[in-house]
Amino acid sequence: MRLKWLFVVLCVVGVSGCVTVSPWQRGNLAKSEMSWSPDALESTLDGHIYFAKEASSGGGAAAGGGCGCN
Amino acid sequence: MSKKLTLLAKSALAIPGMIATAQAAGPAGSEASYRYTYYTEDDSPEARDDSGGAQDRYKIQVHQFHILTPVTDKFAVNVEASYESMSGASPVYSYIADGQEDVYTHFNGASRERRYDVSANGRYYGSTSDAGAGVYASMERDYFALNGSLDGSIQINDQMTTLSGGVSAGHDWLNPNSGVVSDSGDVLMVNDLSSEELEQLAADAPARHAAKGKTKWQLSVFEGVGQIIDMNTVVQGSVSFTYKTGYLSDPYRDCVGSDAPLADNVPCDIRPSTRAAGTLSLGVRRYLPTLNAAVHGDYRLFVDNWDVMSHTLDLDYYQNWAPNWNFFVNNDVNFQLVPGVRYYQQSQAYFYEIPDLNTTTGSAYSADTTRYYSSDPRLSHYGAISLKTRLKIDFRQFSLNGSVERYAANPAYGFNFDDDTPGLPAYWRFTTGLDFRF
Repeated sequence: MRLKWLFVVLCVVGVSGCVTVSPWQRGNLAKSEMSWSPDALESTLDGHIYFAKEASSGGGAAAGGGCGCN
Repeated sequence: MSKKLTLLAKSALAIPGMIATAQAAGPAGSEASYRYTYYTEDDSPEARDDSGGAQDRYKIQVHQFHILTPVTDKFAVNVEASYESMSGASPVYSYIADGQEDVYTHFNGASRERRYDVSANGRYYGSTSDAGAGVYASMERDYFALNGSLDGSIQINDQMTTLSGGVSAGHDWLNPNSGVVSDSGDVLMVNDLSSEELEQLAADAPARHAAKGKTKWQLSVFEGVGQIIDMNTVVQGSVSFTYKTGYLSDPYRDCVGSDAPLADNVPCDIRPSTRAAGTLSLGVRRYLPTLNAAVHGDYRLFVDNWDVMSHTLDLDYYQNWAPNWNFFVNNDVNFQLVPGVRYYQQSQAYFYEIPDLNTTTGSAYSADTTRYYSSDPRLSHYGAISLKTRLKIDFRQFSLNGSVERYAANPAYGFNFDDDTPGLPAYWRFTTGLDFRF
């Protein structure tokens, strides 16, 4: 429950603390190194390896399947 | 369209807020990628491997392929495929041996195995929203997984805020390697054994026998919000929930092989048949104009009803360098160096325990695990540190990629100074590859 409230507070603080950025001011935000996963294949393999070697997985997007777990 | 104009259009379409003007947000061009990865784990620890010597642990070669192509100005298709070949020993049980104080781990060698997977995703792009649907399949001789997903996002608040969400469902089928070799020399899978062979397997490898014909399925949902903070900063937060049910034990965990009086009482690996897990993920991307660099920070909190709680922190620094010399300018040559660090820490599952074979009465493990039990090091209390460096070199419409990662897991890294977990892995990962934009 406390985590849910923390998340809501973070969202409100994040939204209220920002200024309007016009589309023509978003050049830096559009650079590839600013994306959430700049390298799709690297992200896929990272997820697969950490899923196989650690007890936790997922987060950020819907989870996939597969094993190759040893 | 000239190459520079195409790049300009592509860049503009990627800018939140430019989408409505351009009437399309899909990728402006196609991209194909290939990666080769060599993954090698450190040898088993000689002093704690009960075979008496160090063994080769997993070595994996991975080939990955990716293609993204727009079909129309509002619809794009993304396909990924990979092929892995792997071999090496993995930990199958841990115990404190009779007459000893230290934890020992037994490793089993694996025959050469292969895994194939493929995923395909179609995405429709509206003026301020997008929606995608995907399918995923993973195939091994002993495992088949099928997954489908739906997701979407919408931009609001002058396209400063992006709300996203998705759902996925998957079904997995198990058919473990029985270890039984046929007259022709092939290793048989559990589902292929005769009733006599199955009876023998139940006595020799009960965990593999128990997995015969088993399946599991999972359902996962996520919701997220992204927010532009200023011209150089964007943040994101998301929550996800995953529910799994079915056969969640590991069929390759063996029972303790020992003559100690209570060794026979230790089960192989019995995990609950359901697992509910939630995550909270937070991320920030900050561009540093004066340095022509970007900083990535990501955090994930994971909690589940097996009492596993984990914290994952990822930090990466993207340094660009574009030499202002004629050859480099004329050929669009850019360099990008990306050092990064990842820290992971988890608590142990409530049914994780190392059996102590010095015990002479009752059970070799505690009463809390009478129903469920596992000595899988992946369910222990430990931490892991990973250091990674990537280099990308752009040349015209090509990008050459290379990366190296060193990963090491240890109880002490997770602030657990009491336990000894010799089965935890440490590995090197080397990757190289090529991207082609057309």
